[in-house]
Amino acid sequence: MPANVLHAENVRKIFYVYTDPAGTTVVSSKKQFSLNLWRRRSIYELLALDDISLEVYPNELVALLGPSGCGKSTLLRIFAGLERPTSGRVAFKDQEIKDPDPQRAMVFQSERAVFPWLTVEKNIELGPKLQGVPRAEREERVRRIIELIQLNGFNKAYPATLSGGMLQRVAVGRALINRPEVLLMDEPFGALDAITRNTLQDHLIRIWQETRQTIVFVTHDIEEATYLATRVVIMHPRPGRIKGVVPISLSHPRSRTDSAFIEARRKVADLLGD
Amino acid sequence: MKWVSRPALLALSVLGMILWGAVGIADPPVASAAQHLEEFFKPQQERGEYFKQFERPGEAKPIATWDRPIGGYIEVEGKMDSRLFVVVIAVGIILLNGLGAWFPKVFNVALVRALTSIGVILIGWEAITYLGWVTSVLLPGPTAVFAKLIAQWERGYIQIHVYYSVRRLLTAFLIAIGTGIPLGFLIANFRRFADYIDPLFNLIRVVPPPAWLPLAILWFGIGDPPSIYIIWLGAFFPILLNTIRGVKNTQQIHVESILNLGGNRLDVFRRVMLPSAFPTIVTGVRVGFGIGWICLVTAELVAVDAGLGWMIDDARTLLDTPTVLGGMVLISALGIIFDVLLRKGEAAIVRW
Repeated sequence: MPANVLHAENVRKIFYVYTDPAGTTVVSSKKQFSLNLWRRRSIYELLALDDISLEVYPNELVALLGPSGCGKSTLLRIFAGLERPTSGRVAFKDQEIKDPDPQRAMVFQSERAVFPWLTVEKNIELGPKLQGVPRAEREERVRRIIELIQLNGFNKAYPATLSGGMLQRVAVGRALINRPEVLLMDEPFGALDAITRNTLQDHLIRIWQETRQTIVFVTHDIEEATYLATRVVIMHPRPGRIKGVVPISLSHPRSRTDSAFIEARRKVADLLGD
Repeated sequence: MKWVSRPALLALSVLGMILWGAVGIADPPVASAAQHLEEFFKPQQERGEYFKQFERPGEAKPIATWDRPIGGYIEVEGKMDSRLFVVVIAVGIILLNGLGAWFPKVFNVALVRALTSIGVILIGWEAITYLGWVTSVLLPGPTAVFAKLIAQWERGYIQIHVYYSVRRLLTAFLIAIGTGIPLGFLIANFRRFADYIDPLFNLIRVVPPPAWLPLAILWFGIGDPPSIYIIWLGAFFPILLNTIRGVKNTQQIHVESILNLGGNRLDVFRRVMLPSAFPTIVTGVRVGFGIGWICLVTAELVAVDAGLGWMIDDARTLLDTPTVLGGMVLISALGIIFDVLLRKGEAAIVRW
């Protein structure tokens, strides 16, 4: 058994939900004891994750699958360091996760995460720039990444002129250029139409085969999970718990009409449906 | 100019503008009201050269100087020909419309229509004054206004007042940008600071800037400082409020993205908040400029002794209506020029 990349042990996450008198709902990780009744009212607790334990090993493509509200995005954000667990332990290569780190690169659900004021090239270049990589090497890396995500010729384009699918590829490129240990993807193709989604899934498989990048992938689409993942982690909501894990040993690229694929898909669906 | 780089030139001109403004604040008042009164109460034959310039209305000589931008009524001898004016404008309108219809790609249709409506108004205006339907003292025709404007330009009168107005405006405007944008960022980012300072600003904000004029004159006297204060008040709040709005509109997902890419808090400010607030800030600057321009002319009607506002008010006391109208035309033209410049600047920087 190789050493794990990500490790979660008995992770619990509680959100505290407040409602302002104005009607705005505030979701917070911190319990706020406020005497000011005008500002915070009707506090209730939301158990987003309950006792999650999960290991992610190198070169895996893990899919977190479940209906909305099952805490799969929260788990991913905890891995990214954007949220802290209320209790339990999360570790990245045996070190506790405290802050966001380019080594755990995140691709967000919305394609609006790409900075609209930077060109495609500058968006991708930003990560190495922040880490002080010299210019010549940066340019070389950007060139290779743009080749990998197949957006040649769009180097100088602003995001407003690109389609949703192209923007998500920019987001993937922006994450990959940091040479992360693990790529965390939060429903990256959820907002796209079915045809673009299929194309991008094939792109992702191609990139995964080229780089052998460890990927954790959140989705609520059974077929997507079966099509991409080497291991599907099935979660269920209220409270968010892991229901089961289905390893899928079919070789990539997979065929959606293959009988083995349909069998694997049925297994995932059965476990999800219980 | 090969040895001067463009950024250096830009930096120099900005520096020059600031220095220019600083000199404007330091200048002593320019009018010599005391001298004026002293001469006035002397017997007629003892009056010196100073008053003689007002006693010869027939000559248009450059009595206004940079130190003493005092007006005085001037008679314009060679007036423009009303009928020629009307004919030229009418032919111009017809030609433009014809060409616009034939070559719609070369001539901007919207521009042709705009010029047509302006031309029609000018013709109507000239006609009612030429036919004597209105008293020319109350409403002189466009030819009279243009002739007067040209005469005032030739004696260097307009240049002086435009110079004073623009200098004042730019000074106040630079101060407004320099205070409004940093304060906006502080208020948007620090809740505690905002809680303390917001109510104060809201109290001050609802007082119309011209209502500060009496107090400003008491504090700073007549001259640039009170008007700069009024213009600053007018321009400051739109810039501040829009900066706050822009910073608060920063997308959470962008902040998380930059943190995830390895950025620190400074990067969040520099690479996310600043660019995402920028378009809103520019809108604030443009709105602030419009209000500052209103405040400038208002302040100049009362609190200064040179500038376009002062020029039209001074002309009113002399019943010099063509200069009043000419001054208004100038004010409008300058306002449009500044607005166009700001728009171009915005389009050049905000390309996304």
